[in-house]
Amino acid sequence: MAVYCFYLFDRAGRLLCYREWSRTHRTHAGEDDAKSMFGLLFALRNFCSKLSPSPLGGSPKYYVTGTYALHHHETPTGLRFLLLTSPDFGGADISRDLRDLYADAYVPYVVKNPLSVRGEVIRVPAFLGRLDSYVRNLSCF
Amino acid sequence: MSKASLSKLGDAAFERTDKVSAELLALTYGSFVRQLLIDYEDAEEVNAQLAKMGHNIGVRLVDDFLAKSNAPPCASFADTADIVANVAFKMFLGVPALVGSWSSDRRTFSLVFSDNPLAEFTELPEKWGGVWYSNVLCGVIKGALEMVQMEVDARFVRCTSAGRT
Repeated sequence: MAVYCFYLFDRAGRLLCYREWSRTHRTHAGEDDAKSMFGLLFALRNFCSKLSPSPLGGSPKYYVTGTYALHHHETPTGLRFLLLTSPDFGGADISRDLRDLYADAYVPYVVKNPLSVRGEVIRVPAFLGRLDSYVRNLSCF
Repeated sequence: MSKASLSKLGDAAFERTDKVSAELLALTYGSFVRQLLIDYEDAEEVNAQLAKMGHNIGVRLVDDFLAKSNAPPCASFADTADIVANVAFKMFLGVPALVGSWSSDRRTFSLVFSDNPLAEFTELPEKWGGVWYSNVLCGVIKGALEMVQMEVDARFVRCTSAGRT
């Protein structure tokens, strides 16, 4: 079991934070990687809300392929938290953990931090530290 | 969701929020507005500045609201009105608002506060009759809803502190 990497996008598709742990393979370099990730998510989300039986739509929680699993949490403000893990992550609802990360780390350390500017890459050590310990505490790490 | 369960949500969210003394808030806000009056010397300009500050507060505050309130998603504008009034205002100001005076096209409503913690000690002098003392709240509502893809306009219709009824 392994956790590969983490992405945080804002609603305009800007990459606010990227961290990797045991990512072994890389197809694109840097910005392209984030762009295609956001593009995928954008399409996936539209697709999911079109299929949804509820008028409120619905955003995907995770999907699994043969080589990785993608976990996703989207806030009503359009922030998207993504975590890539190995496919054998144990079936736990990791999008819930991503929600906790939003409530316990992003809101107090980034939103309430007067020095952090909206839409800019997050360099707040307290947030990055919490993110790291959150991921390391996941049962699939 | 029913009114009663929304106000229960509001109470629970209020319990979870960090508190400051109401006097501290009212007096800090008061000295703030006073400074704006000295700096801008124009009622309209002061109203605009207060709304702008509120907007900046709102765009951040909404994330705190979403993280802590557990409010259900809104399916209609009426839901939004109820959640803003019963959950959001209760959570951050400690007082819920009443939703009323819906327009016939259901696109406009009023929020009525029985108690305004910002203006507890305030009586505006006649000279400043054009100032909406708590205009910051309009900006907050606007900024917060803008972040959840809703473009609204908010303004004061009546305020007791201004001596206008």
